[in-house]
Amino acid sequence: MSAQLRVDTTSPVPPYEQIRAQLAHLITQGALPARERLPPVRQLAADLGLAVGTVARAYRELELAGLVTSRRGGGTRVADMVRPAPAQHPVEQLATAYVTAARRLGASDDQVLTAVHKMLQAG
Amino acid sequence: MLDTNNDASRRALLWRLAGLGAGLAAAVLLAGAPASWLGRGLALAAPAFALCLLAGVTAGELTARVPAGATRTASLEVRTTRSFLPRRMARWVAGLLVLAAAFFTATGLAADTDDMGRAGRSLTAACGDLVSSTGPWPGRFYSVPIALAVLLGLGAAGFAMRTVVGRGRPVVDGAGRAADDEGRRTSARAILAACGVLVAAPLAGSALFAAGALGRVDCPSALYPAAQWAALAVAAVAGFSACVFTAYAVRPGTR
Repeated sequence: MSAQLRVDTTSPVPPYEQIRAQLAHLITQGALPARERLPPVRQLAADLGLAVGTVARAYRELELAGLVTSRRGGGTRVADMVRPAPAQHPVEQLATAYVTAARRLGASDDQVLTAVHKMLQAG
Repeated sequence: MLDTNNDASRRALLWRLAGLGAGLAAAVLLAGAPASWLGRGLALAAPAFALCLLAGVTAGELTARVPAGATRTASLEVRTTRSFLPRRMARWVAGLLVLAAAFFTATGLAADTDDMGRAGRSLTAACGDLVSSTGPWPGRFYSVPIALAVLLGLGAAGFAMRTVVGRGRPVVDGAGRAADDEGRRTSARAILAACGVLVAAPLAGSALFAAGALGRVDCPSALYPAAQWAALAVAAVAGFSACVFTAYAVRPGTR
């Protein structure tokens, strides 16, 4: 079963950023290995019911970040030089998941930190 | 609203049947074209049928509704034409294309102008001092419109196949994906079957006319009877293929 992307169109985070963040996470965590081919822009846009330009922008940002490479006729692939991020402490993994989910909801950094402080004080 | 697999396959089936009906009507109209068309209508009947069927398949795929809910999911899969194209059938169609190209090249080289000055419509045989002319012969008078129709049909098939591969997935769970893939394979078989009819039917008809013309050449040379048998063999292969592909076009879900 291949990895899945989820886009929430009601989120204040633009859809292209949601796609970019999820793909970047999958690549840096090693879930998508080097040279793995990503779906064509048109196909992914059709599957998500989004405009082609939205997915194209996400791919472009990933390319600028050096995470993927695009070649005419060869599609978009995970870049060779991407090294999976070093193994995280379990607490860091939980924090990563929390921050990702909160950002997907459109929370600001202050709101994320405030919520953590509140939970720490309550516990 | 998201399409379920049943909605999508029912809509695809209805469009395909509409294309099939329109194709049959177009083929009947062209086959009954006035005599002044000199058989060109008959030659283009099968390509017209195939083009309408391809239009039906494409419309069925294009009308699949796009995901429109607030939360949408997609798997990171790469779908390609190869994933859905039945390989044996594709090889069969490719073989027919090669056979058609060779046949029409040979008949084109042997063709001559008929008694009314129409280029590529007659076979002129030189037998000693005697020169005889017979027709109709599938020279460029017939092969050019057929080739144009086939090229147009192949272009339409390419577009239809791209639509089949590229349209959005209605569901991402395992069972839904398998059913969706099967729907795409059915559409791909219908597209290939249309391509098969597109190539095989005019080839069968042209080969029969060529065999008839070769049979009327009055010459003791062994070349003409051999060529006639070869044309009959081409007609048999193409005719059988046209029947099989027509059956597949009507019921592409069968294997």
